[in-house]
Amino acid sequence: MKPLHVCAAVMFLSLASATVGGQDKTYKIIVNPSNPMVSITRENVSRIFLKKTTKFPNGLNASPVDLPANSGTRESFSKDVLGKTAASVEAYWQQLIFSGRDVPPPQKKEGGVLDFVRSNDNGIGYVSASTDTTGVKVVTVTQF
Amino acid sequence: MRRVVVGLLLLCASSMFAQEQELSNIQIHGFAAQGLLYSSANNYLSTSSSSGSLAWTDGAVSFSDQVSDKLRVGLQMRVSQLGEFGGSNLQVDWASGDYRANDKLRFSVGKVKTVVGLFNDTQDVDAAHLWALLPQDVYPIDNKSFDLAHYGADFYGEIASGNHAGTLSYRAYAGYRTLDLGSGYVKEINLTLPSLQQAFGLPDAQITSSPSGKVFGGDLRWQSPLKGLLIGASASAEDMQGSAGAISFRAARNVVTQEYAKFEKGKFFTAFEIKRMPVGFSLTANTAGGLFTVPNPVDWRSWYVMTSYRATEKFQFGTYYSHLVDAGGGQNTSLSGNHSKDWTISGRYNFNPHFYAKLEEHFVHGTDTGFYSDSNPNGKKPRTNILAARIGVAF
Repeated sequence: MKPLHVCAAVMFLSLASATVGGQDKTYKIIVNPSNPMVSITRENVSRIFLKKTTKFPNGLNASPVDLPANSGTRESFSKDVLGKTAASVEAYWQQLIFSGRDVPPPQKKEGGVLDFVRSNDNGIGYVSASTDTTGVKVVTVTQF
Repeated sequence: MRRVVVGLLLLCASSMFAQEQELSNIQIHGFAAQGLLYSSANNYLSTSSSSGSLAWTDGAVSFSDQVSDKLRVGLQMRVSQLGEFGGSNLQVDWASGDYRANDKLRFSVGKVKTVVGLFNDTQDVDAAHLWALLPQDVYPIDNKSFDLAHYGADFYGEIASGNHAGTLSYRAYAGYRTLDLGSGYVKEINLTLPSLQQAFGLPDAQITSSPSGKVFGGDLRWQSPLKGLLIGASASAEDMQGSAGAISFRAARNVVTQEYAKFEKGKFFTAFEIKRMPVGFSLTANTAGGLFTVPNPVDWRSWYVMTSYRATEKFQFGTYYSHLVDAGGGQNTSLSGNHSKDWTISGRYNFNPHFYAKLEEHFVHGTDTGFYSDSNPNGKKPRTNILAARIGVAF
């Protein structure tokens, strides 16, 4: 029985870790194909989308485009990359907008995000993981 | 000067609208909020709150245009009324041009919101906060028209030093600001005038033109490597002068300091601030027998600590404790008129990303903040419970 228990435990742990490790992100970050960047840190994506910087790490100008506030993909992106709930992000922008400090990135539906990034050399956006991203480049998000 | 700046920015805004190809860059946002105040004892913030008062309305609309990668211009108009404060007139909340040389160096010129502490420049943006009333001992709503903005120039920026040392943000500004005739400070001065005029045999007069003064200051804040932890300090030097008939008044240049920290992680938020505001205020009576100056110094020392939790995507609740004493002229701060202690519990529900409601209870000891003698002609009681409710919309 003991070896069986050990086997079962190992299999359970393996399955569990595979599930965690295999949890695909529900979004993917896209840039214009002319942008030579292939990966970007989570912190840099966060700074670009919160408009704390206007540059990619490679020095190119960055023009972010966002999904609508009620988008489920935006909720995942906000929690995962910005480290805030969508409501906290909304409050962040309201503070900046109404104090005259800045305005949020334009909001577009997924088709609009793809069009924006395709037609804008500096564009950066995100779409749901299942979206066809022909004509744009998907970049990898790294922790550091 | 103020009219010129505002006129130029309005002109810019108009011309932007005229150019259809630029319309896609213009962002229009707005908010509106209606409040209710109901107090157990004293009338609060010049309203008839002890009977329940709905005289608390705010609305604003902003236009902002990203003219180029580096230049943005914008304008916000607002209407604000709280009891006797503010009014139905449309006012320029801010109107500025912002030039971003790079992340480390930016400039703003025009009527610019004054960045002091955690909330000064956003204290009027009801939609952005959990609280119906921010801690009044640090952010007095009856004087927000004076504290909120200055006419002048700011330069500011951010120095990111990677994950190991965090990010340092700085801001410096210089300019002048005016005291709105419908503000708390003016009301307080007007309430002081009759006794002085009577004592010196001077004719009755009230303040009829906005007092003004110079202001310059700065803010330094450090986003620490511990994600969500921000620590900062602000300081400003300001003065102000004005007159009412034969009486002139002056606040000598004083330095206001504010230190603060906040920590935000996921659904949890906590913050505290300490503020010191010593004002060498004096009134001078111009009489037939010469000039007589009556000093009336104040030394407001205040702090608060707050915490909140977002229980669900739609519901957030929190509490704060706020404390103020006025130690000016060595007066007894244990007297209820010279201190204020406010313990507050608050909840906010977002019906959707744009529409929300807030409900808040304040348990206030002391009457130094927000209680006016003419609103409470039978005297002020030392304790007041206040219910504050707001509904609002923002887009």
